[in-house]
Amino acid sequence: MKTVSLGASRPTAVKFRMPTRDNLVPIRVDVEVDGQRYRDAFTWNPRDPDSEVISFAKRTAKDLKLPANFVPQMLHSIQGQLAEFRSYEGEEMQIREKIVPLKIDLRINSTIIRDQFLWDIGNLDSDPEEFARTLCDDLNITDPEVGPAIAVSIREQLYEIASQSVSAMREAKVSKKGRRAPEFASNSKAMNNSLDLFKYFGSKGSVVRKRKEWYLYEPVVDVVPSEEAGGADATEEINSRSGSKTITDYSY
Amino acid sequence: MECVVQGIIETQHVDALEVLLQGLSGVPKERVRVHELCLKSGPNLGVVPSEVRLLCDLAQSTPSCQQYSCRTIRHVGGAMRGAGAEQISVLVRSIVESKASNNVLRYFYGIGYKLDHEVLKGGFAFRFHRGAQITVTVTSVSKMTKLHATNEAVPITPAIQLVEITAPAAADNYNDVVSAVTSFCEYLAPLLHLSKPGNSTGIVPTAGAAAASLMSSGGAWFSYDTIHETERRLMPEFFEGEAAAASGSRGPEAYKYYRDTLVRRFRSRPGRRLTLTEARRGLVGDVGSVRRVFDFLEEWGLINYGASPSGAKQGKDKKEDITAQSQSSLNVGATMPSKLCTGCRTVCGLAYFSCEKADISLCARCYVRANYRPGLTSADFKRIEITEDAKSDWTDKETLHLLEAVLHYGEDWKRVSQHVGSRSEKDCIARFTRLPFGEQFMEPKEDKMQLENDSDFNEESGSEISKRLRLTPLADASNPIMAQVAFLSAIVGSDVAVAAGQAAISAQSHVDISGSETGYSMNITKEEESSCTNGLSANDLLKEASANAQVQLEKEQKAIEQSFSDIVGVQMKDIQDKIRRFEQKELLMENERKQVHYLRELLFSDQLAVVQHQRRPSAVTTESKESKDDEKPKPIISIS
Repeated sequence: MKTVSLGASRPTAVKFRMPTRDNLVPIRVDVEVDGQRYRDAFTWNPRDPDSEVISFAKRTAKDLKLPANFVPQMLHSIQGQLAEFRSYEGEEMQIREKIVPLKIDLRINSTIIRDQFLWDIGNLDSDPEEFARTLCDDLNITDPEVGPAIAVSIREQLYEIASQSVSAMREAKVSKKGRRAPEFASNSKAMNNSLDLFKYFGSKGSVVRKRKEWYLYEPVVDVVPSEEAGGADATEEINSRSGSKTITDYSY
Repeated sequence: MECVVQGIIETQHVDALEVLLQGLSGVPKERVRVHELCLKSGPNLGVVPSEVRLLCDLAQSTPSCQQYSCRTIRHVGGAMRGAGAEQISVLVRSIVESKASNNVLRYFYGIGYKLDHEVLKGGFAFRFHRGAQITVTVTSVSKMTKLHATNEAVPITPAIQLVEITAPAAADNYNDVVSAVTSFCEYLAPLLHLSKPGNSTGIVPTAGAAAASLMSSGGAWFSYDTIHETERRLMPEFFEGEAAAASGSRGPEAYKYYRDTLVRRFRSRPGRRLTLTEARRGLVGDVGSVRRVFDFLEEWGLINYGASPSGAKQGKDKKEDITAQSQSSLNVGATMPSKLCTGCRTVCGLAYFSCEKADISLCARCYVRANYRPGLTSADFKRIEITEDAKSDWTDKETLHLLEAVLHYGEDWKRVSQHVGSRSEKDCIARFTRLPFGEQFMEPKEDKMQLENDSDFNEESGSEISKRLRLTPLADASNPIMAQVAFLSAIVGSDVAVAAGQAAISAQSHVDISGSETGYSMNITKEEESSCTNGLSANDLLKEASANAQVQLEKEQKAIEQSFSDIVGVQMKDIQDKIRRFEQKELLMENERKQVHYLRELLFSDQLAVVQHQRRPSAVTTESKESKDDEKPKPIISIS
């Protein structure tokens, strides 16, 4: 683990990639055909060839018994997201140690999970999958679909932050401020949601959270009875994976 | 030392194996009948338990040796250990052979060995040289009901036989021997289930899974605790290069996590096919890797064995036979709507090629690339088109209920599903959106009216697609022809059905029952029908059909007339009843009127009496009054 450094470390510019150990893209698909809705979220390895996308889409449609006219839309959606990811790939982005709060607020089948935690997006060895696995194990979550949903949610948030960093870099290059130190530029842009470690931990330098803040950071898992899932929107509920995620701005 | 590869084979395939070995070895087979006593050392003989196998070759014993005067002792040692052992795929173990006399059993008992079990192994063997001196032994193992009673032996596993491929080796040449044995085993691999002895086969929770793992080729090496070399070889992405040291999403841990989860998940419900989507939704990781592990496990039969229509790996045709059998015996519940190619495991497109001999289905690409076993030729494959099957098993009655419910309740799916009965809301919605004539409900049908005067079946079905009460023809699903016609007309649309109905009517009316030649439309139908007549001429068939139709027509007309007259009669009765009731009422009224009249007169006479009392003194006036009153027929009395 990296040591906590007081103050921002010198940023390094790196080719765009997911700031995790495995460069995997989170993909979210939401297709509606003939009143039937298919919603899904999963992780994809961008190094897989495009033929994989086609066979994956067909296979998923077959497994879920969806009609064949789902496949082109699924394909379009997945390929679009992959293309967007690849369009970032040539760019450079800033990597430095930066702690951001990530939030999970998901409902999967009948399990609701809410959690928030701090994540260092400068750590290129971070692993959302491992985090999701250990979280599920520790909280004794029996539904196996919760883990992947958490991992995808984390990845999506990281992806958003990383792409923001790329666009910030781009703007910095274009604007006049690019002539100044890049550190300064990145601070002024949309990176407000990072925490200054020094301020956060206080002058005492203790890593332990204040007790009154414990409740904020406790994960909450709820299992709701499944009768809510039936009803007029039966089709939607069963096929959907509702995931709402927010990155909140903490003002300290 | 000797190299040993063990495997099992189903008894039904033993003949095939024999033929194969015969061809490969070129030597005649030898009968094998061995009485094997397995002795295990007791605790007082040392810390390490050891095992001694006494083999008596009954096939070669002469009648004079009936008393087991000549035995071969084989002391089977443990497997070779060391860095090299993991690399090779066969078991190398130490063997000491010697001859002994028939007292040997008592000797061993004396030093502390105990008889663990004894079996009788019978079968055949082939001894030949192919890179090394190889002996292939195929035996069925039987146990003896009584001690040393070789005549009464009961097979332990009648359906399975044991196969052993052994070759003696020395310390300096065992590598060569191993490679010789391994390469030879490649020939046998399609027929047998080979394993590397020493590896546990893992824990199998249910009988179904046990059968599955026994019958699958991969089941033999699979173990929850270890990663087998086969897996390392075939899934290099997890084990080679940078991934070998990685943890988490890449690397052996990830592979083990995926594999164990998938196998456990399948084995908890062995009859049910585990789909990739379901599996990857429960696994944390990128779907590409999950898919590859899933495919690998499915190919080796560790997943979806016996729960899939397409067989296992393409080259292993024998396993496909097993799959076909087990599938029929396991009675798969899940339906497989589309075809998976056995070769490349992708969904076949519009058509696929199926081979009856080996029960393989290939997609067009694999067929063109000749991606099938050497034993088959392209002629063995038959092209089969894939049609879109109806995805639902909705009966007509249910469809009718659904439509009625939708018309009554609109979008209230809860009530719709209640009305339909056995279908959930989701099913109702899905079915409704998929109905082929769903759109036609929106168009009113006026042209049906002109066809109703003809009471022909085709007519009614052709005009049935419209709103409201016209759905009743669909309800007549008990008549199979009606149901068929209803379905056809639903598929083709109302206009076509109407036209077809009209054409059929006109065609039938053209048929002359007397037997003279018919119009041109008959020729067309005649050609069509000539292909499916069996002895009767088309004309006769048509005549019959038209005669039937006419008879039906008349019947219908009579029925209609009858019903008309019934209706009229009923109306008449109604009217008569009404008249009768009115008459009764009038009677009653008459009676009441009379009563009122009588009461009135009574009252009048009372009044008269009163007046008389009042006018007593004046007798003259009362008399005049009386006479006056008598004249008046109707006195006007105001009683209030």
